[in-house]
Amino acid sequence: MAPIDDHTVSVMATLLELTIPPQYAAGVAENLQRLLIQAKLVMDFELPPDTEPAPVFHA
Amino acid sequence: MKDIPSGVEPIAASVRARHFKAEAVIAAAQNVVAARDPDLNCFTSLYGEAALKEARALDARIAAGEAPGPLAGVPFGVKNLYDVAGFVTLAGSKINQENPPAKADATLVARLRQAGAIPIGAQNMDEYAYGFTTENAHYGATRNPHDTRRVAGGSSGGSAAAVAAGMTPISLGSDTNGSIRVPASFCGVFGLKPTFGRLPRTGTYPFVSDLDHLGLFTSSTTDLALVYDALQGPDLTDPFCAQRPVEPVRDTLESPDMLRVAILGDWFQDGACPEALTALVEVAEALGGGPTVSLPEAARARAAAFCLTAAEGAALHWADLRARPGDFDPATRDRLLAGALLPSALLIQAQRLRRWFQARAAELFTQFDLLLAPATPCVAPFIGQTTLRLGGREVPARPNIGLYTQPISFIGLPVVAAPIHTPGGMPVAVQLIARPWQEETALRAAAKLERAGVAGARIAGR
Repeated sequence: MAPIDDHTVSVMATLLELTIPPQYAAGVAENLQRLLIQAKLVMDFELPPDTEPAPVFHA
Repeated sequence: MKDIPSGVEPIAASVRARHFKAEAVIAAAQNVVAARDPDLNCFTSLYGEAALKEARALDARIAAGEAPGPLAGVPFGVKNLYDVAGFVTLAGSKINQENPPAKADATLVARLRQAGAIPIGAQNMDEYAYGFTTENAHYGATRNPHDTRRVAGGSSGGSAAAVAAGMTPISLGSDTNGSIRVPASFCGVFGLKPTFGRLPRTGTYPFVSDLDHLGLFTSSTTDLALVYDALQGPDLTDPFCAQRPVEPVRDTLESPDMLRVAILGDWFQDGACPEALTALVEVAEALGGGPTVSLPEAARARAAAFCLTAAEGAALHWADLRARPGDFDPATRDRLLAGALLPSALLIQAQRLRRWFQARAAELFTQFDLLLAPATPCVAPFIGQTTLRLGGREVPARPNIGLYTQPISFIGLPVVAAPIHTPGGMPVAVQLIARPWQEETALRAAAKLERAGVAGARIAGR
């Protein structure tokens, strides 16, 4: 996985109209990198198509 | 509490029998807090005269012949994300200081009051419950009563440490990814995280709505069961609360029924420190032994819980993250901001994986009544310690303390954290994991371990 840098964080945040002050960017990048390593474990797992999401909404 | 009994049942019995006034019990607890909390930092606010006034009112009711409830005069503390009428619910944050005082008690606080117990203060935690160490940038670190150089665990650190220090015989906590089981392990007290949806969360500050559990800490299994019974019951105002009737457990603790026990291997032992593995073996032997089994894809389950937590926490705090990020604890802020950037497909996939993983656990429970795993991979780290050595690898401390708890709360299974103490060492707990809605099974196993002298809470300095 390519390393996440401050610039990447800034671009992604812009898409959400979220301003991340420059002094926080390195900490956010470090945490995002950690999350994306975990995300890969989730996304790489092939689930049967009939596996429904777990949360249940009660009307 | 000289001469005043130390357990929940004995305190309540002595108050009901008018051997001690509730006011004396509360004053004694306040004295312990006054003596010990300057070193430990378990409490962020104390109810002082308000608690004494409540105790005097209870004494008056007892004198008038009224039944005061099963927890008469028992002091308790609450993690500061529970609403207590008249006080601001901080949830470990600076931002929430601006909120008005709560107008009503959280449902669980109200239920304990209804049973005669009296809250004496609100307890320290990681900001917005996002952490495993209770090293809070706004309110300071809670220190471990067994070694004040070490953390108490988190996020319910103040709650567990208050029980371990003998300040309160009951503390209410919450557990999204391990926040009851981790501090129970580090502080060496009993912790109960019931099945997801068992205890209503009305009046508590949320973190991750589909992962948040409420629960409690005590110093014995009898107390754990007694208080848990007082907390149970449906509540229509929490949409995730199962509308189940009260299923009392207090009188089932000594049931002689044999339990079919298995030990979780693979993920749940990889990297564990010798103390955690020794405790696991001792517990398994005391419960009659059992095979080591695999709960498949636990690493992915943990990963899914990890990502859901960051993303849902970010959504909850979105407005403040945009408007005033500088007011967050830096550790919380950077994780929440990162969580805000995660893609939506990941979150749906994580919820699908959750269903799949739940089915694998259900398969194990067709063969076994109870699954065992360490609660933490290590004993309590030192305050300020940033890394852990797990299985020969140096890893960041904060994200890895919950390795063994996260997959279990991800699918809402009920767990008792049973504390194991070794002479001269720090405590560590073993998770006693039962089928959904079978808290009784985990509590019975914990009681058996306690009777055998294998598990037990130890009050530091007593």
